[in-house]
Amino acid sequence: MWWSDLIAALHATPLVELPDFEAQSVAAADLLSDILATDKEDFVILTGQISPQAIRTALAVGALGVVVVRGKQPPQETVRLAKSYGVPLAVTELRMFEACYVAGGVLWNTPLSTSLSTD
Amino acid sequence: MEYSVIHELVHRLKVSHAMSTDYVTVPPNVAMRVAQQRMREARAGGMPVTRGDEMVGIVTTEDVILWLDGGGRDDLVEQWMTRDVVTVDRRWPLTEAMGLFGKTGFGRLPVLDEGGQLCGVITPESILKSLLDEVSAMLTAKDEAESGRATMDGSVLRIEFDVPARDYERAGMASVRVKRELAARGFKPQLQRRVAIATHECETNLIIHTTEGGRIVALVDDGSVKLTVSDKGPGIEDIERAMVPGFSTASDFVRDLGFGAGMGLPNIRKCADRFEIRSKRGSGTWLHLEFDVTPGDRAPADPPSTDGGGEEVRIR
Repeated sequence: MWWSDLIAALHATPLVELPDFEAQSVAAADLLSDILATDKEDFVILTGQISPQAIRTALAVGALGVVVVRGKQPPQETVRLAKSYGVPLAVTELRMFEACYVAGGVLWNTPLSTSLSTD
Repeated sequence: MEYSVIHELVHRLKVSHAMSTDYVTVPPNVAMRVAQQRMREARAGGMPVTRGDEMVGIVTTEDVILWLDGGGRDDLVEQWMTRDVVTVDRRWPLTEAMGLFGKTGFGRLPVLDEGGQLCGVITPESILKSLLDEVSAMLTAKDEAESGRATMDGSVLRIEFDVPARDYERAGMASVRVKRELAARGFKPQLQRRVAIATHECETNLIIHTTEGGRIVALVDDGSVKLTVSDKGPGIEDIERAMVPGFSTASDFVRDLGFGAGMGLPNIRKCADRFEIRSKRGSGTWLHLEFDVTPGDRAPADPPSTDGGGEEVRIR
């Protein structure tokens, strides 16, 4: 799954843009501790967390990118950190379930409805 | 901030970094009045004139003044716009665009993409904003990189962190620093990750659970990575229960921050090759972790080693 395809499918707004890359899976959790406990490799994070810790968590587990769900706007500090360490960051209006559904469609290449609403 | 930093930035950054993609345009076949209004509303000193996807000119404050001077008639934009437009390519280094501002005296320049299509507008203000963003990102990185104290003791790198209690904002800083040091020494990502995750969990524990914070000491050499974490309390009531995945004493506040899933200690044990914990209610907790470095955990080429003697290690 290409990051650019995921971002497009999620109608996400990129906050930190870097060269496109391929990911093999997705880790979705609001608790960063759960993300720290994952065994996945080459993955991107879907989370509702917008604090700088979301980026540090991504760095610790070697996640390739972070997508914030529910349209939450990360503070400057988070964006700055992501930029400093080269972690692609984007925000989607979709809620976690819908975002996972759409990401699954991109990941497993199954055409899914993209008409999910955010309300 | 030294001059050379800014100098390096304007050479490294591209026009695309500093341009604004939020700009107004006007078609050539509308009244100048429309252009004037649009510029006033957008507080823009000029805007590209576009026909479909094609940029055919630019209309500036100066054009508007000339038009007003001429009586402000019902003329069309195409009668007053500047056709000979100076543009910049979004792939150019910023310094090129800055040079053009100086040479032409213009306040804004349209930016074209690889295909020659209009894709943004660059102004001295947008350049300043991008430079400030970059500088503050650099300062953040410096701040993070300098968390902790690193010293060389012979061939052993020792990194020490004092982690204050309740300083949630800093959670993960030690982890990021340790990981960078391992990466700089050629350790493979898999080992970096195990150590980084364990460090992250340890510092989070110190921040969330201790009364006065605590200390993390990382010792790194060719054969192993060791972490020793200690605090002065309150100590763990029941270590066996604390080791059960999902068991947590964290507050809702801490959970809102994304921590306290009850996976900390189990996750630390999973990441480390050796795990030892001692805790006494009322006097504190001591944790020792070891990570074995197998030949496959290191990249073939050794990075240049720093001279010993307990001197401060500078982070690149």
